[in-house]
Amino acid sequence: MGLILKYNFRNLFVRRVSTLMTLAGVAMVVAVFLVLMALAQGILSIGESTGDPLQVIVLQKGTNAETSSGISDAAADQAENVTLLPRDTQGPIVSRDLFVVIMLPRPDGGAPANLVVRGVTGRAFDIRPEVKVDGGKRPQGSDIVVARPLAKRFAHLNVGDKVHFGKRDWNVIAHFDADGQAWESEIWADLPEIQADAHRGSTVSSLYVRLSRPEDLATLNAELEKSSETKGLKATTVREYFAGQTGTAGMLKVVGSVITFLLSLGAGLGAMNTMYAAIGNRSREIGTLRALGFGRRTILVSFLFESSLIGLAGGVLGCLIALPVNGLQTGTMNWVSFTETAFSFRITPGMLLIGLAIGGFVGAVGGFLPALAAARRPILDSLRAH
Amino acid sequence: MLRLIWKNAWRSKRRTVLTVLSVAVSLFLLCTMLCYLSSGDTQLENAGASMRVVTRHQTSLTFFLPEAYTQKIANVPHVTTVQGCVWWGGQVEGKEMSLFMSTIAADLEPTEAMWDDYKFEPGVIDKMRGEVRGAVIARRLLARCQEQCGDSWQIGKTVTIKSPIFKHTIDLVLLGTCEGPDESILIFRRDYLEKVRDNPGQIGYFWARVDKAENIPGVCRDVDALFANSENETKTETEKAFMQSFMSMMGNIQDLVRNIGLAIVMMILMVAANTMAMVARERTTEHAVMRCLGFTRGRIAMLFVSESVLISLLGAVVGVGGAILLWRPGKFDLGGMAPFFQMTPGTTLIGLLVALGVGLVAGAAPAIAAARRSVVDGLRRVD
Repeated sequence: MGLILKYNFRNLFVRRVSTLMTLAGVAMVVAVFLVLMALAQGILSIGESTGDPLQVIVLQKGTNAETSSGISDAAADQAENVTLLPRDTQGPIVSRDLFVVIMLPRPDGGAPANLVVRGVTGRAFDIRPEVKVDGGKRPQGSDIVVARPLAKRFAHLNVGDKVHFGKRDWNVIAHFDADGQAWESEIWADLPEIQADAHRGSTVSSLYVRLSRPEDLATLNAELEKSSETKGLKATTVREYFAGQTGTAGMLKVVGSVITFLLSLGAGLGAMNTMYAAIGNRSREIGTLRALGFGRRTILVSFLFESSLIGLAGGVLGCLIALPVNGLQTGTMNWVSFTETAFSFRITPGMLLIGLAIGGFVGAVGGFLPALAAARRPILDSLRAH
Repeated sequence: MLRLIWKNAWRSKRRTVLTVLSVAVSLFLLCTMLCYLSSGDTQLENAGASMRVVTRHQTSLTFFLPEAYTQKIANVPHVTTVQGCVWWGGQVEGKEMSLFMSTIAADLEPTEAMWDDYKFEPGVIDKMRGEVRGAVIARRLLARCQEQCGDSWQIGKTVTIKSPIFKHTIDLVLLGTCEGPDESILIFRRDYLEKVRDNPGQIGYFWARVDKAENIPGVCRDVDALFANSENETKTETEKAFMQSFMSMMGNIQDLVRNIGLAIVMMILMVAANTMAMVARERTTEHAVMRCLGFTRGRIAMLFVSESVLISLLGAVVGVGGAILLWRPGKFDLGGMAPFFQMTPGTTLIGLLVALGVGLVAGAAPAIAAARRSVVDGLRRVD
């Protein structure tokens, strides 16, 4: 068996051009598949990575987004009184956030798009240690900090720029990173300033807290129910909240699978062509192998091996073509808040494996009928061929 | 001559059929993706011809404007009709992600005058005057809802709709259907929304109709000037610009689709070129014989390229033809997201041109090689 597989392997190099072209066709399929899945994965990973299991968001009941939630000052004060919330010397560690949607132009003058401004206090940074602002700066007055990926997607968001939204100009004093979490699509500004600018009085959209144990979530909700001020509030884990906003990813996966399937069909038919030609040209060789005592099954397996190898090599090439998109920044619409979410393409090892498998599978399927034909052919016919 | 090309193409039936099918499947996919792109273009084109402008809050659409602006905008010269709207979003319990609808609360009276590109079922606006919870639904959206939610979605029935923006749920009585460019709309009375929300007097955005196209830029300027330096400044833009900013938020999907299209073209090229390379190898001796018989180099190259073009065009007939049959206007709209998903003459032409290009390129290299090879070399070669 080893010998005959070597024979098949070497044959790939004899028919270099044909092998290469088939391989390149399969590579295109795998590359397209990977790029689409990397896009879906990028969106999904925002939901998966945002917030640790202990981070909790409190919203107005009946709303499923910060966009539509409003929490009065009194309710927020009352909620902070819940005893199980962690405290330090300055009181309960609760971040009061105001979520405001603004529209900014693109750097290239293209059509403007919505993005999120989050009005925050110093507590926002205590709750989210993953947010790291350059130079440790904090938003204050008209000074704002901007997630780094936004600087490329919108105009006037570089450090030192003045940007106009709401009723005035704001100074961009620093960029921040957030480990690929949802905050990386946001501008953070001083809470009282944003409340004043957006005429929200002292209302906020949400409260963020960090519990000490996962079981505390149920207790927190029970406590909130008790007071008439906070009865209208509900706490969920941050992870669950953001996972609910990645619906686009599911659609992308379906579309990606359909495209991959159709393309595989096209590439598989091409591979079939190559393999039929391969066995046609080597008819006498096959006959000789059979005459030497190699069985039908061996011939079948060996030609399947040959075509799978082409497919697999195509898979490898496809992975190589697609890999550079990993980490590439892009943005998409969040269908819940109608704002732009910045994220990066993400290729996981599992996806690469699936890509390789698709390559090998396309090769194997394309090679099956030709290999069967090669194995079935009577020895004499094979030997007699021109 | 043509006969020879035709006969040559079918000498290896299996190979030709496989190549044609492969090209066909890929071209079908390419056309399908082009349909998606042209759907966006058609939307913009339609919007470009519209006489409507949109006024929204200067900060973003999520900020409300006061109801009192309605009359002020109506008083701006060249404005014929004004309609205040609030975007409700629209979700059905349990189908939040799969069922997309644009539910809009709109002032009832200006509806027909404003949306002259829509066909409202006769009498439906009258019925809405008599029912505060009344709503008119796009015919295609109704069909989609029936598919997903069953028979509770019928004209005359009451449906319950949630919103991703407001905490309330509303009950709407479906009174009739409409047809128009946006096939996923569900319009209900804004005064009903006001009632549900305890009369905040808020409007999400205004549609204003302008009397003549040349007055549109002036109206945009005048409306914004009217509210400049007020508590709620506005931004007024054409329907096309309004739509473009939505598309811009969808991200670089259009670019992505274009790149994938390019990858598909490359794949078709690989498959076709591979086939032609195989054919060239097999016919080396034959080409030499033909040269001996007096066929010139150019003639042989031409024969060869024609065969390649023939095969890829056959693929186009199947693939592009399939797309034309399947993506007839109104057959499919990606769940309401691509309302003009259909094969346009432009898309058909691109599909055919790609096939022609692939045929030419795939045939060219082997053809040149075949034509260049000296007769003696060709005859000497033994397989």
